[in-house]
Amino acid sequence: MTLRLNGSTSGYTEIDAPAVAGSNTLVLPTGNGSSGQVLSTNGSGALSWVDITGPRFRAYKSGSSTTSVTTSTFTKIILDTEDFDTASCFDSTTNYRFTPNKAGYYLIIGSVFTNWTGSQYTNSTVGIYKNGSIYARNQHYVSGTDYGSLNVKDILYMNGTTDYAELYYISNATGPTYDQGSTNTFFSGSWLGV
Amino acid sequence: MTLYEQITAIYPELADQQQLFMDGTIALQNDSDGKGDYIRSWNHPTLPEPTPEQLAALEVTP
Repeated sequence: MTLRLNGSTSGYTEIDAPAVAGSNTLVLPTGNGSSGQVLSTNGSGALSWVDITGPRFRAYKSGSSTTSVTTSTFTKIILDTEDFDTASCFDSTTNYRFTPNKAGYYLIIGSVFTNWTGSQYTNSTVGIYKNGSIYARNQHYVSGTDYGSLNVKDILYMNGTTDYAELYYISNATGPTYDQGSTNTFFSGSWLGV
Repeated sequence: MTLYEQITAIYPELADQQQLFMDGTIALQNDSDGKGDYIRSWNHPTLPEPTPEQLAALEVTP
């Protein structure tokens, strides 16, 4: 059985059932949804409009110099400039944190271009913090004076109201610093789904 | 003198146990909010957390 809707001038659109159709009822939602939404089923035939996109951001530390941090102290990276922040969920003025307004799983990426001085082996770590506690980290153990990028990435579930993510750095070297600039020290994230 | 320097002045043996600071056994933190460094957590198995009086006896540079 086919339902044919004829165009007012010409042509038509048909909604067709499979040859072996079974017994299915799909109930349309009451509203028209929002731009970009798609129909989703609850598994029992009730359809609803759902988002297929969510908040995305990228922020970095402005400048072209370096920022000093205290040895052996977890220090929040100052991310004071945004490349984009689609839902205005990143605070680049006070807390330098991402507090998404949509629940779901998020891919979070952090990168810190670090410099350190040491006469012996030193540790440097960059970490994603969730709600003030370390969630994921990447630690490098190297000798002497050196520099380079430390990257960390992981998937976090965020509740869309109070959960937030931040980027921290620690090094036990003498006088550790991190480089400023969009390509050097940055933090980004994107909603993946529910 | 930073908080880290204060603590290693009180407990010189910690200067040779820096992994304890890296793994969070002794977690010093700075939230870049202008309030400076602070002890977020202290879980050293034998050394007690320095008292405010011990820390106050040493100069602090946040």
